[in-house]
Parts: sequence; structure tokens; C-alpha cells
Amino acid sequence: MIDIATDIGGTFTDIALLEDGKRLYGLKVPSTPRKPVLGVKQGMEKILQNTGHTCDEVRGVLHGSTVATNAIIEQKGARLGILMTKGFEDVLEIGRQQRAALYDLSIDVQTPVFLAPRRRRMGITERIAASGEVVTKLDEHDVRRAVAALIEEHGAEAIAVCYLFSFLNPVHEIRTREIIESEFPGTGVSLSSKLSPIFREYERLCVTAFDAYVRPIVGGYVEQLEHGLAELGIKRHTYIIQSSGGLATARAAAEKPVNMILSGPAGGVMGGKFVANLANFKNVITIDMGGTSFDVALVREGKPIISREGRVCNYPLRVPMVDVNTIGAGGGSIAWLDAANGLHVGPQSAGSEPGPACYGLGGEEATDTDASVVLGYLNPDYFAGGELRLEKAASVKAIERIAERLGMDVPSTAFGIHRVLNSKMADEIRLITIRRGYDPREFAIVAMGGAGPVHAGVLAQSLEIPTIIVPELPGVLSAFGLLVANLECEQSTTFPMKLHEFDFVKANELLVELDRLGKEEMERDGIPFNQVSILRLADMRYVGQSFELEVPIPERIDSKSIVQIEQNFAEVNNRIYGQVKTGVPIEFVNFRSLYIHAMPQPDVLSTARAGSIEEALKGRREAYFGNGYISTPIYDRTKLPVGGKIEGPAIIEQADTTTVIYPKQSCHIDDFNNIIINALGG
Amino acid sequence: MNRIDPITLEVLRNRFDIIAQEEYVALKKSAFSLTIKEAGDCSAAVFTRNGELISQAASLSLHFGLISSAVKLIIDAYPTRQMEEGDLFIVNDPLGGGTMHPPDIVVATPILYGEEVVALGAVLAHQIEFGGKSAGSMSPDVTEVFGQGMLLPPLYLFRKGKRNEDVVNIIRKNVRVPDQVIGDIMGEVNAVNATKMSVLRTCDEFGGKVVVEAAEELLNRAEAMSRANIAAMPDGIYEFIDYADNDGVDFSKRLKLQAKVTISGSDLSVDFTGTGPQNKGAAGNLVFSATRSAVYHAVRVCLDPSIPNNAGCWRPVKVYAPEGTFLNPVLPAAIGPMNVSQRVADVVLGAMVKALPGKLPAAMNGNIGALTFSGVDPLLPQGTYVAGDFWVGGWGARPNKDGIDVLDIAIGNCANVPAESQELEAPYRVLQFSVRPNSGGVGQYRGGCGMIKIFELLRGSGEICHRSERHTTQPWGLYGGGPAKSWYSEIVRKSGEKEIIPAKLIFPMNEGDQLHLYSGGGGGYGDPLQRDEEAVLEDVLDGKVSVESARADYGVVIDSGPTTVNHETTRKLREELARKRGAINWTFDRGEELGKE
Repeated sequence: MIDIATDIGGTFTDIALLEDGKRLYGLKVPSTPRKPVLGVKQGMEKILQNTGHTCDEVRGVLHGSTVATNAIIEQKGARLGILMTKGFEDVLEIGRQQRAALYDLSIDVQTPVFLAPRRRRMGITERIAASGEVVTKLDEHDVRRAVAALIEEHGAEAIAVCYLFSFLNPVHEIRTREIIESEFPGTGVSLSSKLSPIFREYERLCVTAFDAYVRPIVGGYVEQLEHGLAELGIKRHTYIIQSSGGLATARAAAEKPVNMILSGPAGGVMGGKFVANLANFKNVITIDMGGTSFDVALVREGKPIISREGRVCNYPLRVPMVDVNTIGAGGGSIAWLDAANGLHVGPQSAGSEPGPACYGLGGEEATDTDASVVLGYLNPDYFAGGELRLEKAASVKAIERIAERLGMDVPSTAFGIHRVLNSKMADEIRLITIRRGYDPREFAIVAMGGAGPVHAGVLAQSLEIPTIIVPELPGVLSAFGLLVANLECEQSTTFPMKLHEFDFVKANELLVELDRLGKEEMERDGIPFNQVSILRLADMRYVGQSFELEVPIPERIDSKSIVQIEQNFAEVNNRIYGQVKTGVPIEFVNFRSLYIHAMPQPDVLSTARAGSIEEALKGRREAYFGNGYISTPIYDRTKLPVGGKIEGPAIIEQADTTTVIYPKQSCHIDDFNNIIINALGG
Repeated sequence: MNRIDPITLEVLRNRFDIIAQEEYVALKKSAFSLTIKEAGDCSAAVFTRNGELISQAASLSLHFGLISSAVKLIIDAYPTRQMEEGDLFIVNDPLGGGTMHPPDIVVATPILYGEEVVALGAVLAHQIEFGGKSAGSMSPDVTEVFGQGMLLPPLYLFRKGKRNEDVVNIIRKNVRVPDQVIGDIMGEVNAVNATKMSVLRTCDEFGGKVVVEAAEELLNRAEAMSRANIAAMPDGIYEFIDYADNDGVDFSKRLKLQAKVTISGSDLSVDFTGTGPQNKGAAGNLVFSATRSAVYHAVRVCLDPSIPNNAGCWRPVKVYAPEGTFLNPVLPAAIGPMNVSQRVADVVLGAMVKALPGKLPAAMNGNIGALTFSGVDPLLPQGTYVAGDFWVGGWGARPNKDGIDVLDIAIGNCANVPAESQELEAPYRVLQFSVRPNSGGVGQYRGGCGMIKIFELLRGSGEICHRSERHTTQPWGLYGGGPAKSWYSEIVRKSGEKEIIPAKLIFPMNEGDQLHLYSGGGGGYGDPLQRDEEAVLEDVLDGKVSVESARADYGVVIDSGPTTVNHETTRKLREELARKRGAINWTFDRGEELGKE
């Protein structure tokens, strides 16, 4: 019995194979961007062959893909038509009328108008009141005329429908879909009342429009994927990872494609969770630092923190997603001086072309990677496993230019570049821990990405985080992450109700209805409902506020549990805002139930490596840690034995990353070949 | 003094920015009033112990000068060396040099590290209500400041950690929605306390002395960079004149705005001598702190956007407005209108166009429209309601691209209130919310369009306080670009009868009455006959420019069915129109009334 996980990235497709839930194999094959499924098939064939398994043994196929994300970044989604309540055709364009930069008069339009220009946004005569009552009946003739124009004149391939107050009464949206389906069968339709049944029309429209925009692409992709797998002879369910870090069946994923848009980072965070499980940590901060950006997320009690206020390309996307926070800090981040000789690092990045100065591809500006070379952390002859030879002289030259203007020497300037970038990243971690009421000292860091393990040691020190875990194969971690994800679906409903006027009958009816929908969805995917665990949440706030907090609620609410709910709300409020408002009434806004089917969790066997630390020693290199260059031992990661211990300073090299053990730190290799760094020493 | 090392300096610059940003988010998320929670009419900032702004959260540009003035007032009244742990101050006092109008409430706290004040944390929030003649405290027709709501000189809101219940009780007695107002003031308290904790942690990490020195050094550097920018501008004296609408009392009145910008080396001064006298109505007077803040904004947008935003940017700038003019009114003047602040910025920018030809955009729509809805709703348990909204126009076309359609004015950055939030909280229905066609100035680059928004009162009776600008003049176009449409508002009574609203007016509403709002566009830039034909076609297809305007203003002939450009007739028409018009020998086009210059 085997499970196979495949994760398509920009350059490589990662494949992981889990044998009997115990033995794990991984490999990478080149991605095939034109026909992404081809790479998946090739990778699967290769790993089956390598491990001597056949397709008949496959229990489940788990999959991660950035197909939806890329459609948005490249603006290559469907030709979209939008139906809105008449008079509100321009909500997409006007948005909230705000901008991100305060003093820049040369900014561009701040809303995702590219999804559908005005000519493809049609107003429909209909109106639901704020009470949910129908004020103006849906003009079905209007719908037919608008849809015909969108499809026949404007070539629309998908339609997003967002009527005002449809979250209180979806009757007009549902009827609109029926009309479209009967008159133009095969056209993808996305309804706002289904996708994001919560108030604020612009934010709800964005979810709906992005969903419709990627719908045909995701639908076609899922079909190709299932077809490709069938060709290999695999007929089992395919599960696709969602932005929330949960899995959905391919069918369910194609039904709500918006949930795939931010699934890329979710895979990485789940990979961090996988490693944390191995190393026995429940609370981890995953950091992923590549060439241009630094992604950070929290996994608490084994669950990633979920946000509902995410963004895609800076447009609001109100769907549950693993809360990955990104700042422009990476190996390619450019160090620059402002007119007053203030040193800045990033957010601009040299990317991979021209890349850092040391790449020798024409980049002349000093980057974080150049600093790492000057400091002796990176091996110019063994970068990316030796695929790229770094020119140290170019790094020195680039940093010299800055050092001269600052009146500092080259190594302390390079060290300064690291300090500036490290403090930015540490501030970001502070923001998502301390500001949300979590103490970073109770977490371990899982360091990923080419530059993550270079910087993690300093981040941990400044945040007083005791432990850093550097996984053995950071490169295929996203694929491993799929193996620890659960099958999930969420149902939600608006429930405007004051706590002190609580209607128990109504509330419990709604909760039962959510369960009915959850059951239906799970059973459609062949999951018996008694194997489903349920997490019930209420979005609550003080009466008069606009932003809600998520509070756990029981299966049924009675006079006793309502007291507990009130206490829970006060606790969450106190944790996040440090305040409890006494005497201010509290209200419910939404109910949300999360249906979770736990997938069999791997119990990975140790692949303990024998040998000795001495055998792993490659040599020594001069490295700078703030106080003159020190002769520092260099180790080969692939030869480090389980149980081996190293005192800092030390540098551990492997093909896809470099780990720096700073002075006063130490590390050991655990049973799964993870490097476990004791970051605070002692 | 030890020179602070450049690395620590940058680390602390980032830290100060993040601290302000965090507090802004906390303030907004825990707020009760629509103006704060949805529209974001609030700001957060960190100050040096001398009261100079170190960092600010990205919200309203105008606020930063105001919050700085208010902090200065506090420090003058309670010197920092006398401040103690747990002290918190509250102030508005517009004519005393504080905020722009009574509902703008600043709360500030000293941050003591050990015995010493190392910094101050402060926030400004526009409270939905602060007493006075009418709900929302923003009535344009009041004639003395005493009718505009409560005036608070700098007062202890907390003394050594204990709340001053006297102050709280007085406020509670004087406002219409006390729970909301007190709740939001306490939200301000929480936000500044959180700033305090963050700054103290930073002091633990770097030492209090380093934090104080770094702040001063960051200000010096921003000043140096701003001076370098100004020094690169041609020395000279540049003047511009424009007119604001009325003062909310005498509707036929025009308010003359006159700015003289002097650039000399790295100094820039603005003198408003020649500006009209102090007016009777509140809508016609801008307190000096707001005038100065508007000038800071106008100068700031002419500088490199990447200069760190702190008070150092303002040090090279001097502002003078004679006392008794409507940009520096004195007691007992009624005061208030935020929208005049953009007009002040625009008149300075008009002068700056002369200093920096070809570098600045055409005029923005010139206004941020602000509404307060109040009344009694029979369906609401508490009966009365006070709600608000902001409606906005288009941006001026830039030297290389079109202006943005419908985006809050540069000096502000307030969000609209979603129709669904509005209808859930007040008995109004939003009937329309869309882009206003043909409202942007024509040009090689088109000015941004304004918008149309229509409200209908569903139940009961109430009042609307309508505060707007640029109803009687037009945002100017540049170098052949046309002026944009003015703002326009009307009441359409249930009977069908229409009443034009003269920019600033407070009026009753009854069930079935509608308010129709048409916001202005931004001016156009460059010769419209040179505009790319396809760009004109796109605008026609998207309903932003009519077929008639395409022909008459752009000389582009659009054929129907299928909608395409008729290139041949377009070429001839453009030649003919260019011949009739002659060469473009003017800079500004200010529309029918004020003409070209």
C-alpha cells in the first residue's frame, strides 16, 4: 500500500512516496509548465519504478498545484463576465477607494479591474433588503439578456454573480445560476452566496470573481490530471491541497477553485508541520526564505493558523487560508543607500536574473547573498550543489561601494546587511506572534528555503526561540506536507444575533443545517459521517464593531454553553486586543463548521545514518560573526550521522541550502536526519 | 554625541514604522464607529520627546500635521519632564492649535524608560459624534466654534494609571451616542498603550539612549534628503489663485485662496497673504494647523516618495497665513472642513506646476465628500442613529498616464462604507454606486472619472449633513488637457421635486427622499487630439467617455455595430479641430468661468 504526493512548482515537480505509512521516498523532476500533468506523470512513473511498486498498490494520490495562482499572476484566467445588482456594476472597479502608498501620485489602479472591464459587468434588476426580504423581484429577462450579451458578444467563459445581501437570501443568485445553466450549459458560474456568504459587497465580489476567473482553468486541469492518472492505471481518489492547508477531492476542488489560489505557501507550511511532527514539536514557526521573499507562518497545537483576510497580488481574497505572511526579504534582496547614506535592504530583489553580484550574470548591486559570501557562510564552489560558481570578488566589490560611503570596512558592512535584514524578519515574526498574543519562546523554528537556514540562528536568538529544526530535504517538503494534511470542508452561514437576545431554536436549527450540508459533502466523497470530526466556530464581535473574532462553540448551544461562549469571546478579545469591554453587548455574525476527515497519518521510520562527525568534516573556512574572521569547520550534510553533535561556529552544506551554526549555538542530528539547533546555547 | 551606527539606525527605522502600523490596525479593528472601523478616519504615530513625528501608519496624510500640532499642545501644557508613568492625555482644541475640528480626538501618552521620557505614542480618531448643534458635530452652518461640539484643552484622561472619571463623565453627558464615543476613546487608549509596550521592548533591546538618538538622527536624515530635493528645484517665486465654494452660511460667497511659493536654495515657504478673510460659517474656515498640514502634504508629494516619512521632511518648509484669514481664523470662528484642506494643497500644487513644469499631474477632483446621516429609526432598538460615508472623485491625469477613476483624494485615504454595512446600520438604501461618465478632463491622458452614488431614506425622518467642495469651480487640466466636471449634489424629494445642494448644507430628509451625489473628476493632461485612438475607443466601450465626447473633444469618430474607430474620418476631423483651436499656448485650463492661463 502506498500514497503518492506530488507538488508542482515553477521549476521542479516534487514527488513523495509513502510506503505502508512508514517508509518515505522523495525525488524531483523538471516541471512541464505547458502541460503540467505530464511532469506529474513522469515523476510518478519514475518513483514507482525506483521503489519497485505498481499502480495497483496506490491508496491515495495527493496533489498540490499553483495552476490557479499562476493564472492570476499572469492574468491568464477566463474571460470573465460579472452580474451585479443594477446600479452596482462598478463595485469591482471602485473597491474601497483606498490606496497603499500615501505620497506617490504615480500609482496605478488599486482594484482588480483586469478581471472584467466595465463592458463585461452587467447590472441586473433585483434587490434584497438588509432584512433579507425581496424588495424587487429578479428580472429573469434581464438575466437572459445580460448573459447572452456576455457570452455571445463578449465571449465570456465564466460568470460571477454577486447581488447585494445575497448572503442573507440567496434566492436570486440561485435562480440566476439555474437560468445560465439551462440556457448556456457548460458555462462556469460562481455565486457569492455560496463562496463567501458574509457582508461587504466588494470583498465578497472579489472572492466570487477570482473564483470564476480561475474556474475553467482549474476545471480543465483537474480533468487532465484525473485522465493522466487513469492512463497510468490509478483510479483512486485524487486529493488536492487547498489554501487552508486541508485536502479536498478533485471534484470538490474544481467546484470551489478559489480555494486553490493560495495553496502554494500552504504546502510549505504543511511541510513544516510534517517535520515538526517528526521532531516532536507541536508549536512551530515555519520560515521559508528564498531569493525574493520571506514567508512566515505559525503552526499551533499541530494546526496551522488560518486567516480570512488574505490577499492575492494585493487584492483582498476573503477565503480561509493558511496565514502565510510575506515580506520582501530574500537572498536576492538588494542593499542600497538613500540620499542621506541610510542603509536599506530590500524590498527590491535582484531575483535570479541578473541575481546577486556574485552570480556574475551582470548584477552589480550588493545583495544578501553577496553578504553571505563575504561573511564566509556560503561556499562559492558549492552553491546549489555546485551548479553555480559564485564570484566572491564581485561580492566584495559590490559591498565595498556601500562600505566606502558608510565609512565602514567590508566585513562589518556585510554583517550589517545581514543585521538589517534579520531585524526586518524578526519584526515580522514578532508581528504575527506577540501581536496576536502568542509567545514566540514557546515555538520552534522550522527553517526552509535556500537562505532560511543561513539566517534562522540569528532570528531565533533575537526572539529567544530555543530550537531550530532544519529538515533533511527542504526541497521536497511541500510534497511531504501533503501526507499530513486532512480532508476538510467548511460550511458557513450568516447569523446576525445579539448574545443577550439569543434565539436557541434558530441557532441550533442553523447548526443542524450546516451539519446536513457537511454530511452531504463528505458522503459525496465517500466518507462516512461517523469518521468526520467537526470544529464549530462563531464569528463574534461587540455590537457596533466591524471586525469579528473567531470563537469555538459546541455542537448545540444551550443556556449553559452560552455563558462559556461569552467567556471564550472575552478571552480571545483579551489575547488579541488586550481589552475586555464590560457592559458592551456582544453579537454573533456567522457560524462556521469545519468538517475534518483525518487521513491516515504516516508513522515514518527512522532512516538513521551511521558514520562519524569527523567523516562529515569537509574542511575549514574563514567566517565572520561580528568580531573578526574565525576559522570555521565546514560539514557535509549528507554525511552527518544520527546523534552527531556539533558546536558552533560551524557551517553545514548541502545541495539546496546552507545551515549556519552561530557561535555559542550547537546542534545535533535527530533520528530523521533533521538538524536540531540549540539556538540559545547552554 | 556618539554617532549612531548606520545598521542600528536602519533596524530602528523599520521598528518605528512597524510600531505605528500595528497600532493603527488595533485602533481600527476594535472601533465601534463607521468612520473609524470602515472608513479608517484615524491615524497612529510615534513621536520624539520633543514632539516631532518619527513614524506614522499609512492612513490619512492630512492627519500627521494635525496630530503633531496636538502633541505639541500637550507638551506645552504638561512639559515632558513632569509627565509620569501611566499618564494619558486627551485633546482637540482646534483654535488653540490642536486638531482640525472638535470630533478629531487625539490621545497621547509619554513613554517612560526608567525615569526618563524617551518618546510619545499618539493616535487621532475622528469620533462619529462629539456634541454641539447637530449629530456628528460637523454642521457647516454653525457660526461660532462653541456650537460645534465639546472643546477639550490638553487634559489628563489618565493620571498615573487611574482614569480621570470627571473628564469621561463630562464627555458622556455631552455627546449623542455616549457608548460608541467612550468605547472608541478607550480604543485610542488601548492603541497608545500598545505603542508604549512596543517602544519599551525596543528600549530593552537597544537601550533608551540609542532609541532617543536614533529618532533624532532619522529626522535629520529625512530633512537632509528633503532639502536635497528642494535644492534641485529652480529658485523663484510661484503664485497661484483659486476659489473655494462657500462658507455654509452665505451660499453665493466664493472664498479666495492665494498661495505664493518661494523656493530659495533648500528652503521652501508658502505665504497665503491675499487669501480671503475669516468667514462666518464653519464650512469656510480652516484652522492654521490644518492649513500647515495641507501644505506639508502638497510639498511631500513633490518630493521623492521613498524619503522616510517623519517630521524631518517638514523642517525645510515654512507656512504663513495672516491671522484673520480663513486659513488662520481666530476666536470665536467656527471651523472645520476637511475638504478645504485639499483645496489648499491644490493651490500650492498649482504654484508648484509653475516651478516644475511637465513633472506634476493635473488637478485632482479637489474634494473628499463627507456625509453624516442621523435621525430616528423606528426599527432600531436604541431609536437614534448616527452614520457616515465618504464619496470621492477622480485623480488628475499624470504626465505619462491617465488619472485613476474614483480613488480617495491624496490628502485623505478614507474608505467608503460598503452599501451592505450602511444598510445594516442606518435606514438608508443605496440605489446606485458607479463611475460617472464624461467626468474626467479630456487630454492626451484622461483625467480620472468621478462617481455617482444615490441614497434613499427608507423609514422615519432624519437629517443629512453634506460637506463638499469644487461645486462651483473645475479641477484644472494642463498643457491642453481639459478641466474636469465639477461636483454636483441634489435632493430628489419623494414628490419628484429637486433641490440643488450648494456644497455645504445640512437638510432634513423624509421617508422616500433621495440624495443624488455626482463627484468631480481629475483634470486632463496634454492635447486630447493626440490621445491614442484605441484608448478613446476603450473608454467608449467602458462607458467612461460618450461617443459624442469622443468626437467633439478627442476628434475620434466611433462607428457603431461593431464599435470601432473610423480612422479615416478621425484623421480629417482631428486635423480640422486642431486648425480651429490653434496652438496650445496656455498651461492651465480652468473651465468656462476662470478660463485658461
